[in-house]
Amino acid sequence: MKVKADILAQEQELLAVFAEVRRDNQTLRVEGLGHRLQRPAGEPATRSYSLTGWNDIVAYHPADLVVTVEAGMSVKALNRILAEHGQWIPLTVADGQDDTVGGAVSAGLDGIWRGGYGSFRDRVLGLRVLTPGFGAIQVGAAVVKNVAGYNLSRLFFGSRGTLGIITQVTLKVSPLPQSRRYWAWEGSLSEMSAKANDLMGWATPWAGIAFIADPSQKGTRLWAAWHGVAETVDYLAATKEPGSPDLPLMTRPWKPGAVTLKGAVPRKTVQDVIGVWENGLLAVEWQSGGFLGTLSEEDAPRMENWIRERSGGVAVLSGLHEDLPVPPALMPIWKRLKDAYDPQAILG
Amino acid sequence: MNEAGVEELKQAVGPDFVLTDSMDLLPYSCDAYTLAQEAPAAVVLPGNTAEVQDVVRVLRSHHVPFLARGAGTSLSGGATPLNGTVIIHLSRMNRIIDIDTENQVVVVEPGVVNADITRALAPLGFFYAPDPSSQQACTIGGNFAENSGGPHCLKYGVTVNHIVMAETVTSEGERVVLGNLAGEPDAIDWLGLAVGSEGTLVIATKLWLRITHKPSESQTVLALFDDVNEASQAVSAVVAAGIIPAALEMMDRLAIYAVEKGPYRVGYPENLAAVLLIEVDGESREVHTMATRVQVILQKHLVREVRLAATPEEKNLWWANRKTAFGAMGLISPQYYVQDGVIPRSRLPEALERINEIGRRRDVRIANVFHAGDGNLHPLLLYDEHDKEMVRRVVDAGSEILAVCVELGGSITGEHGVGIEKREDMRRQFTESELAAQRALKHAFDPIDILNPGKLLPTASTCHDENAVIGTYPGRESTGE
Repeated sequence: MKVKADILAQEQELLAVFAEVRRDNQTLRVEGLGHRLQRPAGEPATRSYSLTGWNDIVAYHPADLVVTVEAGMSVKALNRILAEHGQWIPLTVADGQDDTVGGAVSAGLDGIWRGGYGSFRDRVLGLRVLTPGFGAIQVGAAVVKNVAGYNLSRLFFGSRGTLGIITQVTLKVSPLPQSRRYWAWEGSLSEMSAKANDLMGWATPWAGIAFIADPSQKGTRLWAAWHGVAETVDYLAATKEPGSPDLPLMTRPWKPGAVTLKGAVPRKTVQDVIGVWENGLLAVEWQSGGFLGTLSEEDAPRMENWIRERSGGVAVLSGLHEDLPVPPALMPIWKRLKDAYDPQAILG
Repeated sequence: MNEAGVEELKQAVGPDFVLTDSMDLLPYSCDAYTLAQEAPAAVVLPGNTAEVQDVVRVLRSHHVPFLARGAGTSLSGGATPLNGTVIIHLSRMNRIIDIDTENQVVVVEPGVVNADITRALAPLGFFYAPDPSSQQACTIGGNFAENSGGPHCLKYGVTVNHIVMAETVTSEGERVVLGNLAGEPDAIDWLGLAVGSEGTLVIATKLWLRITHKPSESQTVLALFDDVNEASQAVSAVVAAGIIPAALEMMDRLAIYAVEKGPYRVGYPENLAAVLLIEVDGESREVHTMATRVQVILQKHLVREVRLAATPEEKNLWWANRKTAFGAMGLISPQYYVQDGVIPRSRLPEALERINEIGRRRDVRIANVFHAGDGNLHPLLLYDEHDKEMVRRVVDAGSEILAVCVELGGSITGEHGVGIEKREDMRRQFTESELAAQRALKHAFDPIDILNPGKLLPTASTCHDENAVIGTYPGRESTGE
């Protein structure tokens, strides 16, 4: 566990980098494990700073179900520590990649457990952020319930480091399930949709119910997971079909060079989005509408529009640069925020 | 508000929906936080979003501050008008517009009462999860503003976790939709920023709420303790065992005494030190297993008795008894002042001891009724408003309790908000740099500070803050090891 003096020294180092970047008329890009980078063409002079060395536990009291970690610790590394106490952060991204905790927050990631455990965004209780405008600030608190002041965690989650550099994250953790089992089926989209509805009719929430569409394979794959007490899992195993031993998610890696989109669609359009997603891998969680998928650079913008027209949320996760998507009506507010938090525009 | 402005307001909403008579304005002088009172300049009751926009534009053109109000159940003064503020009362906008079970949302206007939503959903097998104790009266627009919680938020989350989209009106009178039906922001979570902003950033005029499948089964366990410390430790033990109950509530001796004088008397034995009320819900096998495990854990502590609700009527009585606890204070004291601090739940025994010590030292009777599972304390400080010296002691004791919460690694408010009441206590939790960052958000949404001014944030300090650059260490010492 890192001590206060070391943390403050690290922060001073990064604040000094802010000053150097400002002096040299550069911009600063903070990097985690590098899976989710967007590299704009003709990028201006940019200085990189890796946060992967900031990877210690800051505070962890298992009885409180709350942990504070440095932003550079990976989710898998964190979960190894939490598992020693029978706990975990239910964040598994559908492409199987590991991410730093800070990167996951900054990119607004979510994963296959969203339907059963809620969104990753809702787990973020607090952040420590280095901002060019205000220096180091703590937002939120290390307790599961808190409405003191504005919920600035929501400002930084998904903002891709454009307002400040997240250096610590406080998360609500969950108990590891006593027992778990996975199932997988293959068939037509309508057959699998009927199957998913059948699962929902039996009980809710499932830990995850995901559709996997892969253009190289015929049909659609349906995957389901139940987390709970042994009695339920045994009952399901006896009545539903034998389970699968592992997470049967992505059967092949993402195609290099493809654009990755992430987001969610309204539940009513889950089946539709699978139907219109052409020539790319797609994983959609049935209960929440959360998705992750790849497309070509030509198809990605079309799909983004399709999703927004149906009141879904979508953002480019990797492979293609786009400015932070801000609704036009909120652009004046965004500009005032950017001016206050990053007055010299040294961040992204 | 001058006469010309009043006339413009009447043109915007109709003459019957603008109140200016002093007797009409009196009930709007405060919300459920009664220690500060001030009559509004006027009250306007728009009937739809377009009228809210018109009203905002009129008030803005006259440089008159305004705030939106629902049922006025806020416990921190969020809806109390200050310095000639006009109240935009949203009670006429009270329709449940649509229930969309396929997308699992219900569309409502802000004046709909919280409990009416779950009543409307019940025949369809759904419910709306956040259930503040005032749910029979409080409106969903107020819940949006305050990010309200309630007993069942331990498992299901608070209001911000259950609003996916909102139609809002900005301080400039523009209609802006935040969020989407999927509940997934493209990038920045503008909706999440607005929820809990205490009506200082936008006014919500229509809300899309996430609805939840009603669990197939629930069971409630009641545990009676002779020692409040044992009850506190049992709370931590339940959660540490990996059980997340739907609700985990606690009442102490004085609170039990009060609720047993009320209309929902359980018949608790004499001289109890604490009662725990624990509800588990979900799939039936899960519920039976968890309820059994909870009872086993409780028996490992010095508990006088553990009961499992035998009938729905018994369960409902236990909950009615608990949910009317605040009101029951009126049966044992002329007035009460409720606090709302949060602590890490593992610090519960220490926090309760410190609160008792503050009560003894300041000669204030304090009852404790709280959401033990998430460490959200509600000390109820009893007083008589005619005794001004007692009022001062009560206010000081409340502030000291909040200081203890922050010292233990917690927060000054878990669900009641900052409002007027805790503006200065914000300095206990945040540095000047952190407060400046929060002010920047307010300024971005409302550059001329016309929407519910004087709430949530303390006045800006001109003092030098040595933490202005490096801030303070997270976890505030007490959570670090």
